[in-house]
Amino acid sequence: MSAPLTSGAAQAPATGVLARAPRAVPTRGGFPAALRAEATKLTAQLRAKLLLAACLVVPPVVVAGLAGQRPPSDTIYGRWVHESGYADSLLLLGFAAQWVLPLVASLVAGDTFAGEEAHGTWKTLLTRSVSRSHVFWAKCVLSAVVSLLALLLMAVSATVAGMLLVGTQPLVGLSGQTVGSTAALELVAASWALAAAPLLAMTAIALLLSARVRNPAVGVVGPVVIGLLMTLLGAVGGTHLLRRALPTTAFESWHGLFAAPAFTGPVWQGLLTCAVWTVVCLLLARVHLVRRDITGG
Amino acid sequence: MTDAPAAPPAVRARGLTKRFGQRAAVDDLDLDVAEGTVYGLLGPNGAGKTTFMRMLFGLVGADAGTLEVFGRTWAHDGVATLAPVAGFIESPRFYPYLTGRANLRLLATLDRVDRRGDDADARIGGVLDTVDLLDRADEKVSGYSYGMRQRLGVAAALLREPRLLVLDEPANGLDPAGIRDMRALVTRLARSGLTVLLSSHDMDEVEQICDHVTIMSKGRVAFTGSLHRLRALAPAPTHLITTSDDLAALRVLSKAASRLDDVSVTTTHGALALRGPQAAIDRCVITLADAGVAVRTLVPGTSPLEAVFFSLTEPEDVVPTHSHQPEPGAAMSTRTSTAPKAAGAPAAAATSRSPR
Amino acid sequence: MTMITKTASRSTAAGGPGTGWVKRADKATRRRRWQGLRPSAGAAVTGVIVLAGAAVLSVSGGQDVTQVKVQDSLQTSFANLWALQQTETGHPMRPTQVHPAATCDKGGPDVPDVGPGGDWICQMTWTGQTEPGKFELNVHANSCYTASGPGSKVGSFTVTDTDGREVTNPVYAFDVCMDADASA
Ligand SMILES: Nc1ncnc2c1ncn2[C@@H]1O[C@H](COP(=O)(O)OP(=O)(O)O)[C@@H](O)[C@H]1O
Ligand SMILES: [Mg+2]
Repeated sequence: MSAPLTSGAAQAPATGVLARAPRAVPTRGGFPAALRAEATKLTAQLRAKLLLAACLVVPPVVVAGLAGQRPPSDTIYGRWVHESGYADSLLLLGFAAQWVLPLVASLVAGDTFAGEEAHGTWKTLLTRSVSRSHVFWAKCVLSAVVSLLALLLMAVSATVAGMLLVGTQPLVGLSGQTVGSTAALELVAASWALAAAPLLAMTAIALLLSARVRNPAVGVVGPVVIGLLMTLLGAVGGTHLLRRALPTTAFESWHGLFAAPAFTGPVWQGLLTCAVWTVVCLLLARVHLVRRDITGG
Repeated sequence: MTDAPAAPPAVRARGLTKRFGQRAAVDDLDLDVAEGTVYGLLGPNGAGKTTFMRMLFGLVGADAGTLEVFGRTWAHDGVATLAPVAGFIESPRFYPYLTGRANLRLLATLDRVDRRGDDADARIGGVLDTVDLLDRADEKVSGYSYGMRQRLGVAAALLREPRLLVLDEPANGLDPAGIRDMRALVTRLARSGLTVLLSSHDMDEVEQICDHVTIMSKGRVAFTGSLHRLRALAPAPTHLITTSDDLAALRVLSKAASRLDDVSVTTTHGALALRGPQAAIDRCVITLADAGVAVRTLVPGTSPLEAVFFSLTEPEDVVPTHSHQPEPGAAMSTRTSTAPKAAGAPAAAATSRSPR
Repeated sequence: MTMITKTASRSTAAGGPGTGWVKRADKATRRRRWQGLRPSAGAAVTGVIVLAGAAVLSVSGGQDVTQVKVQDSLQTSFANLWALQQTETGHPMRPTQVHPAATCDKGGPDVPDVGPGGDWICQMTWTGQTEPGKFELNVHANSCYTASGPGSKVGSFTVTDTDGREVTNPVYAFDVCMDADASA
């Protein structure tokens, strides 16, 4: 660091940046700017790329692995994984809901605020011309996009792998009825799509944790633990309404679609519950971020 | 504002207060930074300089008082308050997984440099050149040295074409060459008309760069005014001498007190501290030589401005003025009455300084 | 202005415009006052409220799993699956021809026949089976259950279909989901 700061330019004080008249920084367009900046950071890191790659690669490996084994009988549709590829997709969905999807939700979201804390870059980010609110929403939107993209890749990968490796045979429904191949594909797609709601709720929980706890490890692992605890709590008998108030319950709302007659009560309850969780967590996180003092870094 | 002037000052703080728990980091602070000045915020560690600058940047909210930046406040104008401001707090931080250039491009995105009709890449190249980082710009920041990050911080600030540059102890952690270059850069920027608010714990630095200074102590203003006025408050310079026989020297000097009435003599750890104008010090040395006491070393002690600084920021001392100086005859105590800390480490602190 | 008094000195030019951060500061002060001296008090209050809410929620609401629902869903599902199995093994049959009749009980006579548990037992007869077969049900909190049929009456894990292939026996064990919100 003995290179002189001023070499080259020292002789001509009024060159380059200094010659211009100061200009007002635009006050509009803060959100898109923050969004682009966040996207730049995300694409420069391995984290999101690894997540998306794993969502694409792991399902076919699991489906192929299941083909050579006695079918798992402890998860819904486990018994049918050799009979219809759609069962493979649904088995993966049921399994992923336990902790994979919470991890998908938290991997980016849990780090997004806490990472700034860890790098000490809050002050760098917030002394430019974007408001805290813009930064907040940019981070939320990007986390949600990554979560949804991961879910989409996982859904497509699992379903296509099942259809190619096992087949598109009709599926046995959850009332014993036979579901035709086309209808089964539609229902499988709908089931994966329904997982978006609890996934977003878990993402919001991860965002809140990331903003509050300010530790990236807690931000990422915390939602996974919370998701497991909620699943566990929901599995305890006699919790009635509490079960319905948990976002993780909505991961199972697709069951009703496969019954005959189909029931959609859990679907709407799940959507409502997840919406409430998402909104409350985001508002709490936003209030915290907007009010807090940035003293680190 | 009562009698609002046409151009509001760059920074105006009134009764600004920030508490962390029970402790007030900034306590009822009033401050005016006129546009076009190079303003030094001086204070020992913990004085509240960083906290004040964090409030200026909106990173920390005030508990009471008002803070205006070019007439704008955070409550009224939000992030637009920052539009004419750039700088960094403590050591600048960047995303380690991005290159220096990519970090600047990210910040240019946030500043919407493109939308101002500027070519962002050209401007980034320009500021990188200004801080002489062009050849390392495409390396990841994780591999940067402390000084390089500091320079990247300056580049990131210049990218905004600010009217007010806020630098929090910019020389902290730099090696001597880095400090020299940083000061040269700040001076050069100031010459281009930029208002600079610079914090420091080093009187020397502020004296070299700044024309206005506020000395903070424990969150409060201990002095505010031009450097010129601060100098007027300064006591006479101190010199530390070691002799072949300090006790004899003390005796000689006290005997000659009538001829040396504008010098005070005190003993410090293994040396004599003489305070007085240069001519009087010369007379002391001659007197000692005449009396057969050899002067072995003569080094400048605490600089006068530094003495003011210490006296303003250290609670045990009284405000030094010439009238408060001890009588020469009464100064034969075994402790100095001024600036004990600086005088206590003369070899380290004093020898690198040039006398003034 | 030059100030040199060390401690309490500050300019009297206080006040300034009424905007500033005063509003925000007032709010912050109020917040602190509400939270009292300990910063953890707010978190504690929140925690208590959440726990109390959870406790109230967990004991309110009707039972998701009832005897009628279990019996009805078991009969429907079994009829579908038995017809499927019979058709696969070369005895074509429609679900409406199965006529299942189930009587379910949870945990013996002393336990109320509601709620999830692994101790649901159903006795069921159907076309061609006048002796009731015993189905063991593991009912989960999510209103889905796994039913295991009596091997002597429904066959083993796999059955041989008309093409001679070993296929999964649909009635050996099967998953059923009930509508938790349905009445009865
Ligand atoms: N986040 C914080 N929490 C508690 N106390 C703080 C915090 N930040 C600063 N302080 C305290 O506020 C005072 C002023 O600190 P600071 O503004 O960093 O001083 P300076 O920059 O002049 O060294 C110090 O006593 C410091 O301990
Ligand atoms: Mg500081």
